[in-house]
Amino acid sequence: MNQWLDDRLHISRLNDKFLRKAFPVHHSFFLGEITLFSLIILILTGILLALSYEPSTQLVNGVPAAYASVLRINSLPFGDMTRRIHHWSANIMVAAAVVHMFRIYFSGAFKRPREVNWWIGMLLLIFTVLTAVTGYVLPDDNFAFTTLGVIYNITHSIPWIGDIIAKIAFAGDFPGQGVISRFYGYHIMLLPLILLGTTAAHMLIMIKQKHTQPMYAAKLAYKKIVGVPLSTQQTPIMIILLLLQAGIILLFSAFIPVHPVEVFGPPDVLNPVANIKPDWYLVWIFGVLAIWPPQLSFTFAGGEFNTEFFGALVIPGVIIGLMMAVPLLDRAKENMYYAEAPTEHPKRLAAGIAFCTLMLVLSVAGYKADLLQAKVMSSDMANPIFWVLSVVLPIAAYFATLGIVRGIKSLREADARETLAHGHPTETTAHSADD
Amino acid sequence: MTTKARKVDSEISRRKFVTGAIGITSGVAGISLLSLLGGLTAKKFISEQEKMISSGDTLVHADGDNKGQPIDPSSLKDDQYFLAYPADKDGKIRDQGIATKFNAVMVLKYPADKLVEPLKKEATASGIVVLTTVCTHAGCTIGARDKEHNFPCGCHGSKFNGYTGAVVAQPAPLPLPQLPIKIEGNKLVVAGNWLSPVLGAPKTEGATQEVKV
Ligand code: HEM
Ligand code: FES
Repeated sequence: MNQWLDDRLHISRLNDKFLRKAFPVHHSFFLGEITLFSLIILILTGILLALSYEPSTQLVNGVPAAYASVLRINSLPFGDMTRRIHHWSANIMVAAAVVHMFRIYFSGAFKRPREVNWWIGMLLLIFTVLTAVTGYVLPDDNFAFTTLGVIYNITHSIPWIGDIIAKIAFAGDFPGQGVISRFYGYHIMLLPLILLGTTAAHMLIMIKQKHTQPMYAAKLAYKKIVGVPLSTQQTPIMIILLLLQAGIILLFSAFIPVHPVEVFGPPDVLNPVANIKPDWYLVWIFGVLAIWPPQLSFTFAGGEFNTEFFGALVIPGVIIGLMMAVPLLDRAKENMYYAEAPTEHPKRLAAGIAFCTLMLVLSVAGYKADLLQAKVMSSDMANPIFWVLSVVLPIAAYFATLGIVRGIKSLREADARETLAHGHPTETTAHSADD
Repeated sequence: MTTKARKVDSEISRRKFVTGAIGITSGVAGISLLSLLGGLTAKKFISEQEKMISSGDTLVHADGDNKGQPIDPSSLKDDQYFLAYPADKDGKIRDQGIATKFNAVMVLKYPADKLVEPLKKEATASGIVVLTTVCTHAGCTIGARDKEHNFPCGCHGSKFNGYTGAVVAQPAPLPLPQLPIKIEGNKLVVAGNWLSPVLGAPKTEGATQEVKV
């Protein structure tokens, strides 16, 4: 059978190229795979949901047909479970992609020759988030309705061309009849196709360029590719990982509901959802919106540059631009071979930590409305507090990281010196523990 | 040699021709395909204009016991406020909820001394003011009046003065737009367009027109 197929399809040539690809054995290399598996689970559960979902704003018994169909899905056997699995996988996919990105960043894997894959990876991250957001609004519940309204106004805030772009993207003014079917098209056709295409490019480039090698590989066989082949050793590892991940997602879905549409209810402008928030990975943009001072708005040649434009498009654009620019920081002429230890590059490490700190501060700012209500801060002081924090804390984190790395380094050096002097590393450790 | 050179020559011009042909045809095809994007704007859907609140509409209770009934201006007590929908000349309530969020408005009754800027007195009638429920920041619907007499927005923490609609807490850049009204008999009637544009609302004709009441 194998022989028969091979005579016709030359599968063994494929075998040499792809199936024997060596995978370094290190847990941090699983992050990309988790992202990929999430995508697969999302596509499978998504197909199931699409079979019962109805993308329409027509009113059925006073509620949009889309909302009614989601209630119906919830009432099907395992219907609610399928929705939860889909939503949990989306959260995990974004989380895994983000952590995967940090792995690449902290270990220097973005360096020459892998710059292109960093950029493709950034696109993957952006499109993943877009896919999640467009999916999030499909139930057309009160939550989704408010979210859509905010996204519409953000799109609309682009100077000069915002109006026409928003009309094209949202099928006319918002709320209009076409918006749900339009977003359905984005969510189940356009964006998944883009994601699959981009993922394929990401994988092919990775196979062509090979993984960066973990440091242990240098000790085992310098400048040789060390790892286990995809077929067969890596495959069981991947299957176990996939099943473990699927199990965890099932566990979450079974016990933690996500986006309970019956709680939010159908769109109702008289009873808006109190203190609405986007999903966690967009709360930082919500935070920028909340603290961007409206005094900085201006009109130029008929174009309006308002708070929403700056808060939701310019500032996030600058931040994404900075992330895109990361590979340009590296001026090496040589190809990068081995993953670097983060502490060997304290400035890069510190910049990464500072970036995370900024994101955290902005995300807390996204909870401004809640903080005001809880009287944690007054409305006059809230913005100044967040402005100061978003500058001071990242800088503090930067220097704290540098300090800690330097401290660890000098401790290690001291250890090494002692080891040299006494010649018994185990004994010295025991001594210093006694002191 | 010469024959070969000529061959090479004709090869080049053929290549030029093919490149040019591909360039021109794909250019034309590209531009014509772009026209498909025009179909995405869905102009046909926008019958919204007729469904939007407009001059001459009667305001009716949106909620509560009197839901759907015309608001009787003489029954309002000082400091009272509630939500209202517009009904057209035939008494039919205009689109609401999922069809449009802009028709839900707030009717507020003020003690005379509270009618101050940025409210336009000319657009009020015996102490009754009508404001939008749409936050001027990013278009979320504002929440109920709080203890400090402000309208808070749950999205990014803006607050509007509960009497005047003025911004009390940023990021909202502008006060809540006001809708001019008049009293006809014992009905509350819309007397013109929003005095300033409501964020995200489709532009109706004469939306920025000055209203003389
Ligand atoms: C939907 C999202 C993504 C999927 C499905 C995905 C998947 C993968 C997989 C399976 C690998 C193999 C290596 C590994 O497991 O670490 C990989 C490598 C890589 N990814 Fe991603 N990834 C995604 C997002 C990203 C993002 C957001 C970035 C960075 C901005 C990125 C940059 C890279 C780079 C540079 C490599 C090569 C690294 C190396 O060989 O060491 N990817 N990706
Ligand atoms: S939409 Fe009201 S504060 Fe942002």
